[in-house]
Amino acid sequence: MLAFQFINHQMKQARRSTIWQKSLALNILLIFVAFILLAEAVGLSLLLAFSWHEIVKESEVLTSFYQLAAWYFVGSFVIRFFMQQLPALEIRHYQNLPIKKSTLIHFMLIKGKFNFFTLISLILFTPFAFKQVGYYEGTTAAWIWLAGMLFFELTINYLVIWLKKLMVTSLKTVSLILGLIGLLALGEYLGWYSYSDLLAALIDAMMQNKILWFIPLFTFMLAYGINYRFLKQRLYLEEISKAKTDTAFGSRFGYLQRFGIIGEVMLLDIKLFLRNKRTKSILFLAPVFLAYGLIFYPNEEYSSDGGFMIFIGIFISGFLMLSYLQYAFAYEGSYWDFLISSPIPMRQYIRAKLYVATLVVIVAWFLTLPYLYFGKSILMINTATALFNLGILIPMALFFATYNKKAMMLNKGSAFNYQGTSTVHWLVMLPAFVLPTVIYMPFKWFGQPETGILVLGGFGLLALAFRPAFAKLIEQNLMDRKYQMAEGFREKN
Amino acid sequence: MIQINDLKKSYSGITVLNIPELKFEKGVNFGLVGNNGAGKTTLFRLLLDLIRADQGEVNINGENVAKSENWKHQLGSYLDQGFLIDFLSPEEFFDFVGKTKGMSSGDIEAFLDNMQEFFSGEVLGRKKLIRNLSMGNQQKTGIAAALMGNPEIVVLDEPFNSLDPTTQIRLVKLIKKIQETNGTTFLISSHDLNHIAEVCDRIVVLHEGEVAQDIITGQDTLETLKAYFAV
Repeated sequence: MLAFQFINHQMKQARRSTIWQKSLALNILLIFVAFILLAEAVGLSLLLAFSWHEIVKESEVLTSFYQLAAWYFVGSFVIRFFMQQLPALEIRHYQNLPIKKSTLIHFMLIKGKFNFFTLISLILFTPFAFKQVGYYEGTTAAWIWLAGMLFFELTINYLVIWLKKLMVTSLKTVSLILGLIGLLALGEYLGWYSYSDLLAALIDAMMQNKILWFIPLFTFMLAYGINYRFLKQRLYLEEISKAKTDTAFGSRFGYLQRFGIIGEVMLLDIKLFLRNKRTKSILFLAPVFLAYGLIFYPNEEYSSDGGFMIFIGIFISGFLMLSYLQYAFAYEGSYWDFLISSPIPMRQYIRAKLYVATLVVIVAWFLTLPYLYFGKSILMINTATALFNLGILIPMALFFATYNKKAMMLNKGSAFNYQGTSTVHWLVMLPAFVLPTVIYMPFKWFGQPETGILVLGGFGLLALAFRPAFAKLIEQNLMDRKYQMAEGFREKN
Repeated sequence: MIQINDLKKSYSGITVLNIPELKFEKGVNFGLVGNNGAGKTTLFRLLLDLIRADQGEVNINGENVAKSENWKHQLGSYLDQGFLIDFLSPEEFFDFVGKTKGMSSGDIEAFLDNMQEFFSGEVLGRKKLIRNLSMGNQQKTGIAAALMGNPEIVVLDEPFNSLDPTTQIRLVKLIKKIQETNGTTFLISSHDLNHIAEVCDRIVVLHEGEVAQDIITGQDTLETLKAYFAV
């Protein structure tokens, strides 16, 4: 009975969430992406089920699949660790009612079982179970096998939930986990030991002796139990909502204060980025985007002066800047009323934002100088695109930031988190990447790629000279739109 | 010092505030009372230029608030938690607000020393960020920030909310003291008739966006107010 009530509330919460009213285009995009992923998973699972024995051409068809599955579990662990959101039933609303603690916890945990990642695993394993395992071992074995694999997957699910509750995603934990997995892979690669052989051998043994299939069931129950006990001990509001007091991170940048009010505002933005969960996860992503070039530069398929390289260049030096500027005001939505009634002159406020963005682009450009290794033209493209970012995209992004009138909730991570984003986001991102390519490509087609790069950088430099004029434009726009923004920001979702 | 002319604001066709004329004199503490939805916060938001008026204007020292920024130096305000930067520690927040108001580090330190009694030792030196403070301590932080830099006018929306009884009494004393020593004018809204009658020299009752009563505080003000609200 109670469970139905909970499910009912959850569905209402999802249905009435402001996310649906926000933007049709964004929702269509999200549904589209989810649909593509699911379709790909179905396709892959059918491919594996029908032609795995042809792909491997070995006597041990199943064993080789188990080795693959072993690494799939590792991948699943990593992806879940970074992407999966913790199951949260808003228990605050229920704690004062006569409902048993254990009921709340069970419901919360069981809800955590149903997520996108578990669904993908179910799709991937089911056809294989009946087509391949069923062929070699019989249908009963296929059922048991499938159940076992899903219990392994669920073990990972609960392990991740527990680990994420236990430790916060910080640079330390991330490097620890990546280090451990790297070690696992390195050992296998160098032939010291083989994790995948070990797990495959275990599953093989389980096929021989069906009683062993209790192992995944047991690990699942263990992981579930650990979570249950962990939560039961901590089902007090203060421990869930404020597991630890935040430390005052970022107070070391005090020297910025010497630059007067502009320095104060810059310092405030830096603290904002360092102290909030959502902005912190953007910062963790930033190095990944800096390294983006490594995927494409060594690849012969992409010519080093193609239009795609322009795109990469904009991305490398512009990712963090765009993430910052597009929502420059929305990040401050929770205290916008304070800002616009405080005696900070709008002009200085705008300039502070532009300075921070400029610094970010310059640092990104500087850090990617070693790409010179892949040739002079890469360096030239990256320099030209950095100039384009500085001159044109910075003022453009800040200008359009006034159209984001939904306050960013900063206490949630950023992966798969679309709260506070809007169609404007996509409308700005698009020209940001298309525009430079459009400028460059005609030169490339006429056999003058170097001229194209120079023109692109030249545009950036020229625009840089007009920055005071742009700043004025942004200021006027902001003055005009601040009421609408304030109204939007006040609606906490 | 503050002059409101023909001010109107409506949301989806319903008028929430309609004030033909209202004047605030320097040194006269001004209280705003009224039931929920009477337009108190709307009036304060218009005063601080946080929302756009449909019609009319608010002038502070002769300047239209929607058209200039100078008045921001003469006014301190705390309406709600939207005036707190919650990822800063109280010290950092005071530092930031103080700097925007042109105070030196020494000024800020001296100001905070004076506020120690009002904080009752619970705001400073706790190594907590504002978002981890209790409602009451957040309220104290916001009120104190509004008082920084000796503003001519201080606007407080329901300042007595979530304060403990001792701090409420201290706030009353603090407001009176600042009014006397600096000549600061306070604009305060509250549901607490006792406190507002104690602190304010003039009380306006808002009802459905219009001025229903305009009382100079005297011996029987509290009785008048109680009689008005006892329906």
